[in-house]
Amino acid sequence: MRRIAPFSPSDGVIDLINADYDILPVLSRFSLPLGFGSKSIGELCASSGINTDVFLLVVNFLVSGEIDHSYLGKISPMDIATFLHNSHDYYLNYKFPHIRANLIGALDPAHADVNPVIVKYFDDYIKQVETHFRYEENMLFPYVKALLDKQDPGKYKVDLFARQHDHELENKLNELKNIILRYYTTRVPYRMYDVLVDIYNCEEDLQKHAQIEDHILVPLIRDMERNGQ
Amino acid sequence: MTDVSTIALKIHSPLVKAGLMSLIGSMKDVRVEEVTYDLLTMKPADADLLIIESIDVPGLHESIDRTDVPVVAVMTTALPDSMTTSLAGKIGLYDAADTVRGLLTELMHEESKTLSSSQNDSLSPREKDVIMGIVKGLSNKEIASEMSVSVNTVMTHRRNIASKLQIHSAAGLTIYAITTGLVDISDIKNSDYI
Repeated sequence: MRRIAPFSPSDGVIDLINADYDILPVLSRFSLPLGFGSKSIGELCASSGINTDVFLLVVNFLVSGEIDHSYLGKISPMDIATFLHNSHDYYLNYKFPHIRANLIGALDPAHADVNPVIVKYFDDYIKQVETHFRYEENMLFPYVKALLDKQDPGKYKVDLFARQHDHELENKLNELKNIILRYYTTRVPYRMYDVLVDIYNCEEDLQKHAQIEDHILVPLIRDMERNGQ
Repeated sequence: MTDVSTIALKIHSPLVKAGLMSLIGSMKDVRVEEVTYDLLTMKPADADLLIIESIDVPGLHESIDRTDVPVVAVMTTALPDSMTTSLAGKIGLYDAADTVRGLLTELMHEESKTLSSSQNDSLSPREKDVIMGIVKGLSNKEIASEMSVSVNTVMTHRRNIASKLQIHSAAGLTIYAITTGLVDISDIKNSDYI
């Protein structure tokens, strides 16, 4: 039976996945082990040491676009930061190398002149994403920890992060997609179509990543700033 | 193309910034976006105009000359003419609000006039010349000089090209130029993107 959000702890994990299978990579980022049996969401989280409230807040947001504000009061921004940190690891150490390998395999040898340029374009994109992620790892996440430990967080304020978040990175990936769609010809299109699907999915995934930062993490940090210091 | 234009602002002085934001706020169909990142590494996406302070022009000089976004500087410091030729316009600190609004409106207007005429997909010969210049690593000033036109004309061509091809970056244009045979890879050995 297909269900749409909001999901609760008693709902089945398989039902969640069947309702929106795009949620699968998110499950992997929570390090939830496969072999779900007929477990409910609550059972799976408990057996894996994951905070069920955090899991449902993120998952319901991704599936429906709605944030259940009653959950916000119950969770720690550090849990969100940890999830985002795992996501960075997922993109940099798995997803991007995966797309890169597929892209290289999909390039038509007939275009030997332009193929390295395309690979370099993708590599430059990855470097820019790395820089963005590094900023979060080096500035934002330690800031969250400092606030939680009630240590002096220095002059940093979450508004600095909120304004830094721009769409330049999305545009670069979008441009690559456009270039391949409009101008790249290949005699063996199957793999390139797969690469395009991967890029579209990745784009959407990164957008959702940014939305979790903007709509869940940042408001939580702002609350801490207001209530703490 | 949206009806609302975006002006990106990278201004350090709180007074100048407040003044500009208030002034732009009073303009119709224009929104402001504050830039906090380093303009050398990233450019504002989807901005129709970028306003910076003249003190930043020397550092960004090269990069202003290679972008397709028109750049206007608030002249808080004096600069030699050679550094201001790539700017689409200048704002004086003592300029009347109407003067500044007029300049910005004129630059936005030029924007929309050229975009509406670029609906057909095929590139004009001049646009192809501009692409070849960009792909060879020439600055906007150098391209203008080669084509014997003004830098503003080159900017207009760049905006039309971006609108027709949906490609904004020089790296993207390089891929386009090679795949469509506009340039040969041997012409652009020195490019940063190869």
